[in-house]
Amino acid sequence: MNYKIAIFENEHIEVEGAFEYLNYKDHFNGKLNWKFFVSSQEIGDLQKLKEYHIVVIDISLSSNSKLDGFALIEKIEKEISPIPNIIIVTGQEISEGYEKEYGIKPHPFVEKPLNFKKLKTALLEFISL
Amino acid sequence: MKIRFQSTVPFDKLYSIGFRLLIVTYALIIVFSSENELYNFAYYIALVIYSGIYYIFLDDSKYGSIIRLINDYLLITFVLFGKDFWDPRCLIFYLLPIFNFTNHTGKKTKWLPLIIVPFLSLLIVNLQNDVNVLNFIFILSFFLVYSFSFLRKRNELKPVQQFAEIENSINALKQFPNTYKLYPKLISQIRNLNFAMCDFKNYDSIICIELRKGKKARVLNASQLVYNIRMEIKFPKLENNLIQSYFIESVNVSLNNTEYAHSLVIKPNIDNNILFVFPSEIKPNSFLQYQYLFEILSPVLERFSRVIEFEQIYKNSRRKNLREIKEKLFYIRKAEKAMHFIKNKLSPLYNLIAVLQEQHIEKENVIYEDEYVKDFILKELKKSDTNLDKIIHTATVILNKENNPFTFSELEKVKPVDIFWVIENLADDFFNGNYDLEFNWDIEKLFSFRVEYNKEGLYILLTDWFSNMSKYGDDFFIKFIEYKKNYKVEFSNSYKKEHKEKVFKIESDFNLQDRKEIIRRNSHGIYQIKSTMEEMNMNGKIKVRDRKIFFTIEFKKINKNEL
Repeated sequence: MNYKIAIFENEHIEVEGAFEYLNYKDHFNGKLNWKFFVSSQEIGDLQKLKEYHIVVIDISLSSNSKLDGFALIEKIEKEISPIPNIIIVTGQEISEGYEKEYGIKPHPFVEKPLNFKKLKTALLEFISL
Repeated sequence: MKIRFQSTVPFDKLYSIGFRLLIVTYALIIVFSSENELYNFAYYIALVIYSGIYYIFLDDSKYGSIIRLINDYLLITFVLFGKDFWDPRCLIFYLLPIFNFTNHTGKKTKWLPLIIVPFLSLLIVNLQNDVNVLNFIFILSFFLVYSFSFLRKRNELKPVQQFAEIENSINALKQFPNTYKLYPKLISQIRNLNFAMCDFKNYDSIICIELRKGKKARVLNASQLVYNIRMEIKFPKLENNLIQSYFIESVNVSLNNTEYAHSLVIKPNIDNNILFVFPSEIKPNSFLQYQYLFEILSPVLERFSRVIEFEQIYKNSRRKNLREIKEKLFYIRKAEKAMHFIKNKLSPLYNLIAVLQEQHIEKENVIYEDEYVKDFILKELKKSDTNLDKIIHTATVILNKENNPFTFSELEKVKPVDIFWVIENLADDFFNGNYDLEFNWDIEKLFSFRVEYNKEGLYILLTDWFSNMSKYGDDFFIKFIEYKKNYKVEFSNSYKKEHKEKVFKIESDFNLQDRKEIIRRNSHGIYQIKSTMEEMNMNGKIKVRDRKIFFTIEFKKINKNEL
């Protein structure tokens, strides 16, 4: 089974390597299909996210993005039912109870810099090998 | 104003006892040196009773002073009865309590007993004497002097007693600057004053103003929101930057575009230039009203003026600290951004090390040319992995907002009027009063809402913007606009032709979405303003129009009842 992943990340060149290596035969063996969106508005209709198994969202989306990561998550939670599997990527430390602070549901998160190991742990929350 | 110290030595009591010893001694001298109506032992008994009564009521703070006075005159009347009252020895004995008047220890001196008791005594001891009119005039003049002293003492104490509660509240102030919170209490007491049929109910607000040499006077605080005040008053000349006189004036004050033709201005302190304005539309019904108000209010206003002066010192030192912090802030911000940049850019290297670890160490998939190369690669790989972890950890510690003393994300819910005061005070400092202000917030509903801000953050934001305003132009204007969901403040100023390019650059830099680009363009002030606003979760925009630059900030309304 192939897994489609939507990645909201403006620094995709830096993180793409981790995804690529995860598709190596010893890990997901080419089962991951991802698409990068550099801003919240690039996807157009948010309902399109229903087509994806996992949505990876970087919090710092502010460059050219109408919404930052938290605002995008909030919108997805409001507009898409059932809520897709979301993984948060952040350059800053996320404190406990972040979900209450930002008014969103709890989601697994990974801190930058990213490597394939961290990413794999997060993806395995939603994908079984 | 007199200050009475709480001494551990009961001086008042000692004076009182000393005076009674004098009375007893004087009575004995008169008894021994004059012809008496009764046997001597009757006077001794009277002295014992006198001393007993005095002892019993020595500590009675409620009626003690009156009872002691009556007791004194009972003894004096008893001793002097049947003697030549107009003999100087007797007359002085009779007048002793009057001489002692200034040492009267009663907390609330009562007027009537101090007149009636000596007068009754005078009548009784003169029952058997022929009435000499001249002698009575002599006594009467004594009573008059005595009454004047009494009135003086009562008037000195009255303001202190009248506003004792306010004085206590001033003493109990624990936070600066909070004096304005005591104004409603002061107003309520002024409105309840009772003097010569005067009506004080027309006074319902207080505005404290500081006069400054060569600058516009400025409002320091007030019991109400003041966004516009004008008054015509001729002040005495400023010497050494000080108006060295007290004064009270009736002036026409225009407050928030309403005229108050008979407002009162009081300057209660000669050591500062602080004055208090009491707006009033009603003409006083007596010329004594102003004089009375000055006499009664001066002591408490003098206290207020001194505390407000300290508040200003406190505010200035706080601003000085913030200015110093501000200079360091931009450097810290840059360091933070550098750390972010490092963390983000480390991803490929971090991933590479992870891949190499898996291939070289965990799976041992790699074939090396010889053992030397293998050992070297594995050793360096381990070192790289450890060091990379340390770098990431260090960057994370610096980026942790909880460790950052310069974060403005902790917001405080305040009354919108506080924002007005902050902006108004700061603008006044920056533009020396040379700016115009338009206030369109609904005052009636102002207190049903709260807004969120961070004190230090707003200070940094405003000072950065005001620096821009004063650097590039003039005609400074601040407009307070209210919308259904938020309060807006619009700062505008015209700019000179030579600054046109810079002003447009500020506009485009501010409206630029890409933060990296803002840093790259090096728009220091704008970057700082943007990041401070982001931290405070505040919206704003910059617009250039008709040779003017407009900067608008928004404060989201929070209904007080929803908190």
